[in-house]
Amino acid sequence: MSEQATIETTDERIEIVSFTIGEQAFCLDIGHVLEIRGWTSTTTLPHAPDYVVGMMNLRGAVLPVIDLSMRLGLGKTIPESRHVIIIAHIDEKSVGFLVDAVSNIITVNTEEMKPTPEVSSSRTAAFIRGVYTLEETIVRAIDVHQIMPQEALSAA
Amino acid sequence: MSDLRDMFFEECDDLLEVLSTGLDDLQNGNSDAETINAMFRSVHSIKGGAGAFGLDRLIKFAHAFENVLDDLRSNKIDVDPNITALMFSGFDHLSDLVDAAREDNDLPDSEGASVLSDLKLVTQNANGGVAEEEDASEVSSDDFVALTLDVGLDLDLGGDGPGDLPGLPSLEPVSEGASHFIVKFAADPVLYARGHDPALLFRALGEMGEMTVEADISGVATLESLQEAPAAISWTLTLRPDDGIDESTIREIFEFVEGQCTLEIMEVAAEAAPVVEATPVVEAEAPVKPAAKPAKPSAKAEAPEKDSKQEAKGGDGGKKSSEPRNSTIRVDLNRVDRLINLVGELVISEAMLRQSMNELPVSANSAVSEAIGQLKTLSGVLQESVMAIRAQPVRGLFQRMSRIVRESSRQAGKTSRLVMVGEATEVDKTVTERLVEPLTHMIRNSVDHGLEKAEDRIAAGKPEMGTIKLEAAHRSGRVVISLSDDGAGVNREKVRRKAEEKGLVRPEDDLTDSDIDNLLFRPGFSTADEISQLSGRGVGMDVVRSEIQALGGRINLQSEPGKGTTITISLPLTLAVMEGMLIEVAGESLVVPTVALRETLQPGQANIHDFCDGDRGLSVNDSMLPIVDLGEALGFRSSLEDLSNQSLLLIEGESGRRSALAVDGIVEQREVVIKGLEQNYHSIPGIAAATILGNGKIALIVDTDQMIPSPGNGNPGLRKGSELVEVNSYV
Repeated sequence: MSEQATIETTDERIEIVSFTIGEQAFCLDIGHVLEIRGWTSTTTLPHAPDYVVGMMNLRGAVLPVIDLSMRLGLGKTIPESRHVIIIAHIDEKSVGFLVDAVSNIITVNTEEMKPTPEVSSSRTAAFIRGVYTLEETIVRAIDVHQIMPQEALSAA
Repeated sequence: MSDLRDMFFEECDDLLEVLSTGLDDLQNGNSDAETINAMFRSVHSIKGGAGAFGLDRLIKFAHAFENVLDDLRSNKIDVDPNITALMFSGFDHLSDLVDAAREDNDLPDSEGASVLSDLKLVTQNANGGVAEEEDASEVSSDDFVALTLDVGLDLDLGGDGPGDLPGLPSLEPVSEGASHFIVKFAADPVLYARGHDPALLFRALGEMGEMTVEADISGVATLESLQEAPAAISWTLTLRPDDGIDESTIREIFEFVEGQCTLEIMEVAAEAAPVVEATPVVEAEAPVKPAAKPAKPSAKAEAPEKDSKQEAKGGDGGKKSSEPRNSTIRVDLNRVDRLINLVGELVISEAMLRQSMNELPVSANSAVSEAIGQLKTLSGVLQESVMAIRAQPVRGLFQRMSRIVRESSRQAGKTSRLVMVGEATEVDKTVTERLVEPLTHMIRNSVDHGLEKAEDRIAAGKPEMGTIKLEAAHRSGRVVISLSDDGAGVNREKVRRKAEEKGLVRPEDDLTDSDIDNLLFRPGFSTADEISQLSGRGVGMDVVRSEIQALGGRINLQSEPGKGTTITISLPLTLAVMEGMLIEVAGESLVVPTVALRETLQPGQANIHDFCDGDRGLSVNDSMLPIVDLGEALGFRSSLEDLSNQSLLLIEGESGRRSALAVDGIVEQREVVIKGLEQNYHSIPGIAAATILGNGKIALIVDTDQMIPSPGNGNPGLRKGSELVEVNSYV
């Protein structure tokens, strides 16, 4: 029901930034993307989840870099100069996503998004909002709000 | 118009701050003539602005307030506790009126009525019971239309019409022949529109010596040709000055209306014949045409255009007054932040440029390296200055709190005073803004629960007046604000009983005193037997704590029975600069705040002793300090067996406890710019903030307080490797 409603009300054309991690293609709404830059070294954070690579310096702003591959359960990325960081602004916070490569900026119709298949992985359900089929490729739409690093609730 | 209005209210905030500072000085007996003058000017400016916007109640009240201040500065009344108390109430009501006007609200009529009448009474008594003075001045600043209509067709004002201002000290003719000043004064309409009152100016002038006033009303129109434009009355004042009065002192009086009037001051030497004719002084551009005094409300429409013309004219009349002591400008915070970011970028680019210069094969020519050296210095200074913009002294915040103390005391029927220490401590503006609510609540609590009733205080041998102390300071890269009272302290028995009743703790729990004290921060806890109007508003100290935590701060309560309670808030200092020691641990660069650092040692000089579970202690000067392996504490690596190659940093926390941090190496002491982590991430146990080093790399700043183990109560920053699991779990 809610899905039906979503499709009806969000019938609009949006631009997405598509990128790859390993063999898979993913995308983000371009509205969240501030810029794309090459890999720069980061500072390791103590007590951080394994998907947080560290903190990077973006022209004086200190922001966390997230290994999207690790976050999505696709294995740890050993960062090198060919990797790319997508700087995004989500929920009032700036964050860098470490990905293999950025492919394209594509205009899509939001009603073209298909629901995520009902697979067993809780990560798929939590982090993938749906998929777009573009030519032969399946592009997975990331749920940006879920993907952000969460603070451990039981800090003390 | 609304821009102007906003600007007026912003100005009001500043003026109220000046007033408040003055009142504090007055209360503490540090007042001098300049303090009272500054207070007078503040109230006067508020009145002036209020006049421009037709805020009648504000004008009326400011006027009464101003009169008292005026009597104070002319020593007609003396500063005594009663007057000070009255002025504090006056200040509170004035702030309320300003707030109400800002929100377009009307306060209930009853509010402040007693303060207003008290203020009026003081002036009346000081001036020998001349009650009319109030009315007369009020008319002149309140409503010019009524006056004009009253005169009727005949308009026979005579020589002593409006010019014969009541309250002027001396109307005795000045004895001729002596040295004196002739002051010719003609107001521009804008002067009235801004709520100034020539009578007040003249009165001030009258205090400088014997004075006569003559009004020239030849310009005042008959009713049929009545127009609202220029101000038609001009005055000639002849002053035989007291000692030490010269032209500049006289000009000072008119400083406020500079540009809004035509002012001519002539010094007449002793032998010269006095010129007392009422020469029209209105200049050629503004011919004396039949007109009446400006009607304030309707004159507004024309004001802007006239304003510029008249001001240009008035400008050459009087020499520029000296600059105000603290001149400020208002800037949108976003602009400042943008500037800060840009400068940050510049500093890093500069560091990168320098680095690549060093990597050039030939050491490049000296002119270039010299220029780069200069660039480095300049960009450093630039960054420092830009950072300082966002930091604001906590004075304004503290002053708001002094009002809360007064109000709460009144409501609780207790007497108390607020002592402020370290008001000059600078804190990021956002932090001060968000501290208002929690501090207000804490102060209400202190007055309501902390301080005892007067009779109990006397019985306990304490002064009847309770003392609330608000203190701010910079410590280990954080701002520490503490609020202490000299009350009875926390009633631990009662707190424990309540907590047990509410099921927060079990009777068999073994709690330390400090554990019990901090139960007050638990949600749903309130010890007040009956809910009082003050603090029982459904908001508990738990809300205070969560608000402080939302700012990345910590809150702690210490209490000593019979002596009082101290609540300490420690807040991060985003955007501030601090001294730090750059160190290396497990290949990472970290910064330890110098404030917390007491000593650095090599283990050779010290004795390391092993305890259970790999704990180690260091004996220094007959005492044993815990050793914290920083690399292990931060989870960078497992514990080191051998500390002999490590350097030890002796640190001392806010609580006064010490520990020794084991690090791989000490690099250098340097100044670092603090960057908050909460903005884009969240707080990290053991880490206070981050900073950016010269090479563009980020170094984390160690939270030294969390690196000091406290007995039985593990610090969040101190975890052994096995405890890291929970943080690594998903979502």
